[in-house]
Amino acid sequence: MVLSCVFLVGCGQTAKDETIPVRIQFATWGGAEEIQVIREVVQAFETSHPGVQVEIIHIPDRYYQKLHILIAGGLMPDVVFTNSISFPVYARHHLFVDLAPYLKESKVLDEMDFYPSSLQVFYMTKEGGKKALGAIPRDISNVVVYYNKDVFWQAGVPLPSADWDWQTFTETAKALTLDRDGDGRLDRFGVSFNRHSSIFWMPFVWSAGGALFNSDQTGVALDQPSALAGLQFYADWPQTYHVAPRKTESGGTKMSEMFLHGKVAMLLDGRWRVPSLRKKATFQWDIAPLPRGPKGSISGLDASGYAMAASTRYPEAAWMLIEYLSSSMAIRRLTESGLMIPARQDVAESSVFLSPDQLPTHSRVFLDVIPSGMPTRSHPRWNELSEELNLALEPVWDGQQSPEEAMRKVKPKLERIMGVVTHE
Amino acid sequence: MKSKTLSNLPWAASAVWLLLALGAVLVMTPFWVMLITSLIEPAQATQKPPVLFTTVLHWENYSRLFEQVPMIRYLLNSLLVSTITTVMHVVLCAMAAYGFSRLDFPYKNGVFFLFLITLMIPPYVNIVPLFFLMKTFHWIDTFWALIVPGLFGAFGVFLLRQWFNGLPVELEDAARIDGCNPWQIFWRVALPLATPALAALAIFIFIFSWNSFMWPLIITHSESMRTLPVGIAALQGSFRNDTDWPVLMAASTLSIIPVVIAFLLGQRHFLKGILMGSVKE
Amino acid sequence: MSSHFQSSKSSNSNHPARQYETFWAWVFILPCLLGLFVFTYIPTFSSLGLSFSYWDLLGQPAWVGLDNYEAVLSDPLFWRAFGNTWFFVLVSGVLEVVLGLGLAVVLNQAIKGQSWFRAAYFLPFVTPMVSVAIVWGWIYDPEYGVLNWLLENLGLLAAFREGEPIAWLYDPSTAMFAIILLRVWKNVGYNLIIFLAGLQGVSESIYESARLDGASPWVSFWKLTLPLITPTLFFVVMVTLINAFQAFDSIYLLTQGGPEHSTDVMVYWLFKNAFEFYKIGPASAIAYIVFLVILVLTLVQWQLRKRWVLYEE
Repeated sequence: MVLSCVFLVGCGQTAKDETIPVRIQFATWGGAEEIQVIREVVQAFETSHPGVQVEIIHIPDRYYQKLHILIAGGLMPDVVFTNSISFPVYARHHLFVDLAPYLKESKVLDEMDFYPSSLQVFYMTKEGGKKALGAIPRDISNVVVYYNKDVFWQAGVPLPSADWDWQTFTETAKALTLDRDGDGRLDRFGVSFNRHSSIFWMPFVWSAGGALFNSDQTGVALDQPSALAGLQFYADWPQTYHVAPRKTESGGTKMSEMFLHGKVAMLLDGRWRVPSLRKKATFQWDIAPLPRGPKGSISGLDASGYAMAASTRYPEAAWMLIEYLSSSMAIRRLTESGLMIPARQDVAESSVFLSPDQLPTHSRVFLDVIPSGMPTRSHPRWNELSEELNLALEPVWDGQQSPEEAMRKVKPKLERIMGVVTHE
Repeated sequence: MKSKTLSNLPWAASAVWLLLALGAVLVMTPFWVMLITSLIEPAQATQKPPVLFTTVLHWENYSRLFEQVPMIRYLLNSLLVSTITTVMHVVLCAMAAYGFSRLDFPYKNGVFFLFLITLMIPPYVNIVPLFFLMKTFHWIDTFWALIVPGLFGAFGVFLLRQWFNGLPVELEDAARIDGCNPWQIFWRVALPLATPALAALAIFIFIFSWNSFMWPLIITHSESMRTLPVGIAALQGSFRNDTDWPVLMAASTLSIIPVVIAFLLGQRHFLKGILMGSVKE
Repeated sequence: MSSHFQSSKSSNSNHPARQYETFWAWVFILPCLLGLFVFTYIPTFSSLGLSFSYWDLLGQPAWVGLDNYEAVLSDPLFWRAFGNTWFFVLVSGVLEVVLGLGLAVVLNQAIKGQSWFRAAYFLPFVTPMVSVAIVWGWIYDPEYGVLNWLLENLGLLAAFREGEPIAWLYDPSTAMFAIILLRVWKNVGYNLIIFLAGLQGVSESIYESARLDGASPWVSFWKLTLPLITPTLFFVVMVTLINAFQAFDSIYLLTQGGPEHSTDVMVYWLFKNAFEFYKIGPASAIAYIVFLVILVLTLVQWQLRKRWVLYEE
């Protein structure tokens, strides 16, 4: 008897009484502090919308793995927090509602509230080639250069300017690289080096005028001369100039740790690094945009936002939640953590984000680089493509292969993976 | 009983003993590290040299853990799932084993072979279809999915069949003459006689169920349905860049305490359970 | 097994006693058999079907014939995982068996604190992998970990690595060894206990006569002990190998197959294909390849056993 009671509690299949408030599910990731804020915001929503109850499905780790399984199991949450990189596979299966009409009708939100590129990354192609909006953006990610001011001062190197170019950057990195005891082993590197994520090397491909895919996403464009030049520039850091740690020199230590310990003077990273630097850095630091290449200083631009499940039984309630989560008030609360660049321009331009009394002094750089940012065009099979790319680039970063050779080898493989998408 | 070969060589004996002791200390070190790290300040956990002894015990790590995640809920879920799985698994195995050992029926060998063959199927072969089976039953994220697929296994059937084969049939004769049917004989006579084997199998299944990770990871998604291993893995994942080691170690420590206590209390049964596992077919 | 519920064997299956017995046999066996059928047989056959399909879990599966097997077998990453798996299985297997046997032989002697040692070596086996993986992740930390600290204090880092810390889980050349060490630590106690049981089945008088003949402990181990426990040895080797083939938790938790695929083993590669690349077809094909390898291994073991095992009780 006791057992069957317990079973019933665990069994979520009990019939819903339509007269009581509608219950919607909202899936999100988030660390301990972030989820705390989200819970409070959602609670406030429930108080002001007595007809709707929200169940938060908090997936702290390996979010898309779980989300995919949920969707496959026919349990897609009504509101789904997603980023623009993992978004295409779901868009392709028409799992998200087109939010453009909702946004147009909305009395709370307006298209103009958001940075245009943050909306652009969530465009999906509807039948008939029309653009549809897959999610309302919450925040933007891009990459900037964090730098340790103390090290610059000690080395007598001028601080990065907003329009520094590749050459100045290389010279700066060289001047900051240091072998203190002359044992042939570098004690400090000019700049960090991330081998395994395209968000760190793609900016240089773009800045050189290259691209990842061709314009209709049917082929890989990384083998074009400009793209190769960008890859070569990045590979030069640890190899030709040796201003960034090689594989054996960083071991397992994360770049952010090396930055905190003064072992790298400049760190390429996103906004999410700010809270831990504020807490842990024992030196003065600031941020600068990425250096200018032949075609300018171009960081990637991704966004995360709230999507509505096509399968939802309560689109009105789901939209009300999305509206509320995207409101100036809610975004302010989340921005206070320091973790994110809000996609809402009003909050981004406010002191909540710019926080003049806190480091980094030039917080505005995060916003200044948005217009020139390259909105991500991901792919439904991005996980697999990224895996192959990382594998192929490994010998390039180690100086054992030219970018040209690596790309020639991996291109057919990538295009085969891309081709399978049409295989329904 | 014991061979005396070593005691004839006192020098070698103490050397061997020292080596054994050193090995045991090394084997226990991770547990010690776990316990100590759960009781130090977060900053001490990323300190050089590592803190291996401490006199100031920061128990508040444990209260912080309870604030962050519903540990009690995880613990109860694990206890519930493992206990029900163990009891039912053992009973179902015992029934089948008794059937094979004591009763004759057409195609018995063929049916037994059907059991045998499942031992060779790696569980990972099944995981995707099993997930969709759960979907069909509407069992995703429920106790049903955590428990039911784990109730059936051929391993215990072999184990217990062996045990029943070793029990003299005469013990059941009296009951049979009294007019008991096989069902009654099974429950009243055979099962009590098999207690040591049942206990041993039970302990084995319990450990297995308590430690199981991949299936509960896939089949649960709400916080309130997570078992202990899934909850701890989620806690670990939630730290991202800033791991709160003491809290994580506190969770680990709590998760092993029940099995360690169970092991120390029932060491003899435990070992017997493992030994029975080695009974060769 | 002859039945005791009927006094005289009847060849007629319609005989009431026979029917009675068959009825009860099914009462006992059916629940378990039905369970195995639903939760093992059906999924196993569905999985076979999926291995011939293209499916990303979201749309409808589409039949693609042998394409998945072809794709998997021509994928260098699969062969990397295949090779890694064998390396993992063989190295951890040898260590687990040899250490387990060695410890069992020593603990089989009259040794002070025997039961304590046994408990200590066995304890890791009963603990959840998730919990111990967390501790080992910390022990292996290049910067703060206990292991590097220990090696440093023993002077080993200075002697062999010019004082450079070892990155363990983050270095492709050491990550697999780190995973293997964790596995051996966790499982050696299990083998120890089983060997101990095998050894205790060996009659004491055999040793006595060997000792009277002047055989050293070393010689009597190779000439007497080992041959006498071959059945146990076979069992342990099989269980160790088959389980090692299915190792997943530690890799999922500590390395996710990396760095640079150095710890990708077949089961993890399967999981990654299914739940990261959403390629259920190839994942199912890999599952069947693993199944096949284990099957072949089991058959080989049966053959060897017939030839080599000295005696069976």
